[in-house]
Amino acid sequence: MLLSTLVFGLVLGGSYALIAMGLSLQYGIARIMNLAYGEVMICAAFAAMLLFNVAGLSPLLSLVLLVPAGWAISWGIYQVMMRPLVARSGTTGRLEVDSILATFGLLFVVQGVLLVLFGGNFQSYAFLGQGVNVLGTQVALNRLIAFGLSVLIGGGLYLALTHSRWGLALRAVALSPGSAPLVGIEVNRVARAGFALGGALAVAGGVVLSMYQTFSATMGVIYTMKALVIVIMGGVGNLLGALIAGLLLGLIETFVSVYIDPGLTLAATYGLFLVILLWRPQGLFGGAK
Amino acid sequence: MTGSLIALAVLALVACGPYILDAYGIGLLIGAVSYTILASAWAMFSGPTRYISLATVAFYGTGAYTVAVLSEALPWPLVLVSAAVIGGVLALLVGLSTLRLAGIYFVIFSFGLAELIRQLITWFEVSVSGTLGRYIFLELEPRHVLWQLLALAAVVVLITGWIHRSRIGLALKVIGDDETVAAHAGINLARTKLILFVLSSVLITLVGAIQSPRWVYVEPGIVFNPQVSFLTVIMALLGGATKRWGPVLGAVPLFLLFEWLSARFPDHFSILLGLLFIGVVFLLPDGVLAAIEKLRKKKEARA
Amino acid sequence: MMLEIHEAAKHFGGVRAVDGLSFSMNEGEVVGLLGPNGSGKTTLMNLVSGALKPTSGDILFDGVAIGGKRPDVIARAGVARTFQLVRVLPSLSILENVMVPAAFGREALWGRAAEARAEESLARVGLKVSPGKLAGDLTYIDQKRLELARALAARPRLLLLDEWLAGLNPTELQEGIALIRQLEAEGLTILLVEHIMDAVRALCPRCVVMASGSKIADGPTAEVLDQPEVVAAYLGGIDA
Repeated sequence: MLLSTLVFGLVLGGSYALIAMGLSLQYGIARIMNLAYGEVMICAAFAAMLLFNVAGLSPLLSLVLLVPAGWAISWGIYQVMMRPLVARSGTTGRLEVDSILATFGLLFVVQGVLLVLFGGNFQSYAFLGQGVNVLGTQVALNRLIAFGLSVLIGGGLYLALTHSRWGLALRAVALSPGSAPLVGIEVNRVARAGFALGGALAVAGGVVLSMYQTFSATMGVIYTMKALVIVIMGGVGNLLGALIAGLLLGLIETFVSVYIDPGLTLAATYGLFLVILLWRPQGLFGGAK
Repeated sequence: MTGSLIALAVLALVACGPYILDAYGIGLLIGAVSYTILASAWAMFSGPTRYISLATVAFYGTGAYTVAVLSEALPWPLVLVSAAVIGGVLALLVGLSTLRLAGIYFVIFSFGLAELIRQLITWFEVSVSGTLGRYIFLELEPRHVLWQLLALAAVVVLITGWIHRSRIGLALKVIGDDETVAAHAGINLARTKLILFVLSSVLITLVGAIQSPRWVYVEPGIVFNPQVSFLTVIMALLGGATKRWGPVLGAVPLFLLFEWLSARFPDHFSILLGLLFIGVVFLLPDGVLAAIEKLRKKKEARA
Repeated sequence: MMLEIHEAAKHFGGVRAVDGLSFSMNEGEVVGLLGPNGSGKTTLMNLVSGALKPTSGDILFDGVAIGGKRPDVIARAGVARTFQLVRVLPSLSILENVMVPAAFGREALWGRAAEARAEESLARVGLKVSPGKLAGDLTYIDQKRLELARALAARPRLLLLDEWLAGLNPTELQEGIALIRQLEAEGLTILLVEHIMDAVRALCPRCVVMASGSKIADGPTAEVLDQPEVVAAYLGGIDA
């Protein structure tokens, strides 16, 4: 029981980490607090389900199709919706409030569209549900694949960001958008890339999660909430922090759901958030400000 | 001063509504007055501080649910007092843990708060009390609900008038302009925000409590409808959250528009709402009143 | 002692903006805080006013520890400041701007008393009140005057001026110097960050010089400005 809970927690935590990394990129680099983030994820989950049920496409292949689409759509959203807000705010710090409001509106639009298309019921599809023996416990193959994908995508992205010129530019803007132009970085382009990359990660997270979890049209809010808590926990803009915090939240939720009550998982998330706020608002891994 | 008197006179006039209108008309008045109070209470805190609260329905639903649980055990006035106290304590907890930090922490906390409370109540009802869904049987007719809401609206008018003239009003104006200067002038930022947030939340909780008898049957999924938070924010923003009469100006026409839209396009309501919201954020970022003021200034400058 | 700073330090990540600095000021003293750009002067002002919390060290105001306290607590204790980049409250009237510290400061004045105090402070800095005019519409020099009047309205015991004379034309500069000198004559304790050497010489009998977060000189102004390490720090600052 303990071991299987641990494995399930890690699998869930891996997906959470992936999702949170995307939100962290959007907020850290583009300075957009995207409240419609979870909706992007849920859209990807529905798309993966449709491709699987209608076209018989494995979610692994859908991932290859959908992630670039997620990038492109987020790129477009930034260009059409966010860019004017960025331009309008200038240096006044209005962007935070404006982006919160604009994406709050977007949340309802996307959720409304999903409700019209798919209704409000929980959905899932049967992909590689057979059990595999891991350290003496039965784990569904889809969960293992999901975990592997999370590690692969999350870890790969982390390495790319820390070891490439391109990653350096992204991190420079995250640290100091004011001085990045001094070293020849075009902030607008980098911000757009950061937002698009975050969207691509949301899609990856959505597809990965849909392999083993049920989802519904109105669930995006909860995932946005969880991703936000993980980002705060890990320290805003700290990708490694988001990774660790994501795993931690997955474990805590799974343990609460197995040993206490499945109805209390969001309460557990909030409890954790509250502890962070009272104890270390700069994040578990951030330095003191 | 004159503004307050005019507002009170309008409220008195609306109170005569039940003698002329049919049930549908009274229902519309109840909705319009409810949202006017919600938007005004929201703007009372979020306008000057620019801390966007997405948790309106968390308090509104808490008010309604308090009535559902206590309405048979306590006399009505005490039920309302209990609702106010519960809403106030909840706001105090939320405020104490977030308001000393940057605004973003508050927004995030408020974003999921309604969902959290909804899930907690659902969990409690299912696994402890064993009943999901409760009935509210009260001897209150729609016109009584309306009159109580109007009384609450009068309280809101008096409170905003008082804030306007008091030190806390000046403190809020300073905070809205520049928090650093406010702190260096001796204003306790966290306490000022906390007082306003609790006050605003108590008013919102009371709206939920007073109009809950309209539902008869109550369950968490009904009273914690996220659209309430959404409508409140858009109404306050459209009118202008920093102007005293802005929220009223936004609430009444938008409520009527939403009534019409939700009857006409029930399935696409949420989409239309979202689009309208985005439109307001883009085209009227400071609200209608500020836009009119700007136009007038431009004209004066030209003249 | 009006102000005592013991080994105050402020680190931002790996950067030591203020690195173990100590000095103290007597009541009624006017001290110039000098140093090249980036030497940590404004950071030190922020530590004293509470805008920043020190990483380590103690700051005592009139014998009471204020290091790490909230800015509103420090303000109510009797410390007022102006900002390097002038910060008026643009949507408030001129009178309201100045009323704020009177209303929320030590004395907590309200109504007519707060207005009277604001009018008195405005008169002291020579700013005329035109009713209904918003602070955001004032000219630069008048915004500076307004900021000083606001700082004075709380009747502070320690005044922190962060480059209050910067950006004034020669006539305005003379007026500004005369104004501060008048405050000095009234016995107010003032710590001022300033780059204009003529003003420093005219106003401050004593100077503290900072370079890379540390104190490199402290003493009578004329002597301090002749010290070779001070000259070197300034030349280095110009080079960089």
